[in-house]
Amino acid sequence: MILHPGILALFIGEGLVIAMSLYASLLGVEVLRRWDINSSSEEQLRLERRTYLISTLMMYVMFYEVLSLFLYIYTLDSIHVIFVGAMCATGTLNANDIGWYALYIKIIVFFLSSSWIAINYLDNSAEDYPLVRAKYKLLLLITPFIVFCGFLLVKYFLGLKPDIITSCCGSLFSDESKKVSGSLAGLPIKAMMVTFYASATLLLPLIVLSITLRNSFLKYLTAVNSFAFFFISMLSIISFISIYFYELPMHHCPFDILQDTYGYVGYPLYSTLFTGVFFSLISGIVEPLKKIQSLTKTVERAQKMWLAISAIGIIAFVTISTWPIIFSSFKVDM
Amino acid sequence: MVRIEGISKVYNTGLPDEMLAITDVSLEIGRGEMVVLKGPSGSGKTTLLGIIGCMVRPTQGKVVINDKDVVKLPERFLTQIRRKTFGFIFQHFNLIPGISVRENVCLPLYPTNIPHAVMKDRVQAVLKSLEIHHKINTEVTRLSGGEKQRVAIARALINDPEMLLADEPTAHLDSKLSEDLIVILRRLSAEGKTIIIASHDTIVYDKPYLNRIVEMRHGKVIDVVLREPLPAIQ
Amino acid sequence: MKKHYRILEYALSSLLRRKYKNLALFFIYTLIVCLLSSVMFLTHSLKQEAINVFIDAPELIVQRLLGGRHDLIPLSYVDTIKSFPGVATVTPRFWGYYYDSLTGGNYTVMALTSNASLNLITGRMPEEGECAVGKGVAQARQLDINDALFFTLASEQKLMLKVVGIFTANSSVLTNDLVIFDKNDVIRFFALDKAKATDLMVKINNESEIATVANKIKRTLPDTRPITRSEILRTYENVFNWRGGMALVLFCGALLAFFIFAWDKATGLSAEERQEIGILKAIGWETSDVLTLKFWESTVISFTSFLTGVILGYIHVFEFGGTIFVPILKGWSILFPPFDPMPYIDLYQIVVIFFLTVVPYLASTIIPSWKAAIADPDTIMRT
Repeated sequence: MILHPGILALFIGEGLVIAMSLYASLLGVEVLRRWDINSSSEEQLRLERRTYLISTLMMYVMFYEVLSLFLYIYTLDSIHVIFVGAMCATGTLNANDIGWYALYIKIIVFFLSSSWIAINYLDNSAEDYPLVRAKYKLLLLITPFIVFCGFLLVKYFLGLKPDIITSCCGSLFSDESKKVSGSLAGLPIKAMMVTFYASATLLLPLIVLSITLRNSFLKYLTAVNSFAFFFISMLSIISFISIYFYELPMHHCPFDILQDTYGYVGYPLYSTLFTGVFFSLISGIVEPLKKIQSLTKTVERAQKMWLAISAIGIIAFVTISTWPIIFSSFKVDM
Repeated sequence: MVRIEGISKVYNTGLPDEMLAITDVSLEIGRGEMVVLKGPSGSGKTTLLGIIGCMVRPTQGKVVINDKDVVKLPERFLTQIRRKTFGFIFQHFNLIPGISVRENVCLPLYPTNIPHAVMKDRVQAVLKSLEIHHKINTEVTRLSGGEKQRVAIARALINDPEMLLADEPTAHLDSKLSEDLIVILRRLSAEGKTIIIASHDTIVYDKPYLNRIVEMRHGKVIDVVLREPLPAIQ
Repeated sequence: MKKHYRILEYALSSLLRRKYKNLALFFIYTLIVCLLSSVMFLTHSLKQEAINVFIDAPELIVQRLLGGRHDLIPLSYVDTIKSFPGVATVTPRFWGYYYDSLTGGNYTVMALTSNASLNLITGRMPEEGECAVGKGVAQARQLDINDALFFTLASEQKLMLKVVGIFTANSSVLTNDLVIFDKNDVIRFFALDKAKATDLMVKINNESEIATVANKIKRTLPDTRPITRSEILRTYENVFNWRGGMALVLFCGALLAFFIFAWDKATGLSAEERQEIGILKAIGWETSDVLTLKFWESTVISFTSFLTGVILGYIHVFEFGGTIFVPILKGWSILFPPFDPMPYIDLYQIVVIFFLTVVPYLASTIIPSWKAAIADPDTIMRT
């Protein structure tokens, strides 16, 4: 176990978020059981007011997940020094596999809680709250993820053993095998570049079409495409985008771009990608809700707005990633 | 405009302090009417006013405002309707101390997305029409009773409501100020606003130009006096 | 957006109206952030300082262990190690600690070696009968070039040396406690065995071979302990993380007390505030609008206190040397003569402080805010 201020901060944060989401679910269960929109009893009014608390809690949970994602990576980066062979956050993550799972789950939780907030937003705009049940069932689905994420995170950090000087000899003999894995980095740059730009040029027109046409199929197609784009982009960041920022042909770390050495370019890079992908995805996810009469208009309006945001996000993301490829003097042999 | 059918309201259902505030009240108020709900305190006037103003949800019955049944609406939407349709004048003025007249009057518009310029113009206009414009930047606790009353009315008018609800508006005013208030309300009525006043003050309900006097006792309407509306004052 | 802007504006005016209550909260909040950031800044700069000491250290140091303790290493090992492939040079080091009863400080006395990266301010490096001192030592003893410096350990171990140089080093620790002697003076002064050195400094051509060489040394000379620079850095990192963490754990009680206080402040709405929320709800504010208002209130309080606290912590540590915490965190204070932390701003530290204070604070205001916000809109009509 490493007693590091960043880790403590994460523990406290995860604890709070778990408590908050459990409490929200508990309240949600009661809403699920007793909700009756046709009743004008005081009970119903109480439940109605309770929903405000639940959505506030979830709002905080979502913001926490976004922020803590960065704190997590930042912390990993800051403690890499204490592991043999670790050059950056990737090295720290490799020290113990659970770290990667915690990271993935955190990203999933972020997407889930953002979706919940989006759906909540739609639901709150219809006078009959048609999604109450679906919403709170979704909440019950999200909570285990949040708890699990916190659990993994704690387990990961508790399991970390720093490589320090022991009384008889240095530690380096014990752990020479631990080397930063390079399998992803080994993806062929040229092929990856082609895939990346091809999928971007496919996705953008799709989004634009989805905004202009009312076709349901298009919305789903866009969502699926943006989902694929997310993975392609992540791989591309590791494979070639990162090396253009580092100007080092062998440095593929997806986290170092968050450091001040590289002008914190990782923050706009990742936030535009996440925004772009999330809003395309959610526009597809809410498509079936159009069938609910009281929601049709709101959903359509929201989809237009979301898809527009998504388009902007993805354009910004592609621009930021392309910038150094075009303007930097650094060139890679492909 | 407002139609109420078989309304009942029970507070604290199932608790030892359960209280039946009103029972089986039906009422219809048309656009532009000036109505007084009359009765001693505890007769259910305020509750009825609250139900009309979408502040209180009745336990039973139907409330139709501008052809929309609002009883089952969640609070969120009730508030929206309230914001659009009603202006409230309370017994104790209920101005927020420590802030200026302008801020107090603008408060109902804060949670809306109305542009600043529009808001600014409206405050000016409303305060001017109530002749309290010169106090726009004064902190409200420095105002006299009559001025406070006008600010309270201005606040009720800022969202340009169709209907003005007043709860015992003269309770804390002397007879001179009460008369002034009635004059203002009458003018507003003449401008086409529906006005409903809950009061047990003779100054209020002895006026000849009221369209309707609803007398309440023990949560029930016991008498409704209808009058021919008089021509509006000049 | 206009809506948020206006509600924020109102939140500000509402905070100002309850000056005293909010000032109290602000002070305590600021104090907490200030203490916390002092601890963090101080630990970080101490760590940085310790690391600076070793940044110029050789890649590999070989010590001899005897009975599990550090012992002098035979000079005969030099040639053995030199014969390993990949080893460029092996240099014996002669050094020790000297307690100076006059200033009460502990000096590191070291024989002059070629690679010491010391920057001479004046003078030159010493020969036999002379010495060079760090700037801090010079200041503590009010020394100047050509002054005599007297060292004594026991009756037969004393030296009168002429100061011929004053230097600074990359780390203020070295600047403040290092004294350089000629090699023979060190051996004589500490009465070292002539065939032995304190430790060996090994230079290796290819950095990636450090581990292999260290491994080989350990196998060939089993009574030695090779230590690489990266290991030292790692260990220091860890020690200071631990110290900072411990300080934080101790601090948790204070944090907790603060959040309970904040909770209490937020729950215990005054009659006046209740009335105000009642009015807002009555004139058309919706529950979520009041929640937004409360959110902005706690955000404003948080950010002002947070910023003030961090700035005060910064001033405390970097202008006043972290007076309150130095004793706790430094620990081996004798080893650290005067210590002036280098000012720096590290975004990560600030993020961590934010997570430790603002996040729990905001979390502790959710439920009280909600409780305030769900007031019946007709409350004010019923009273």
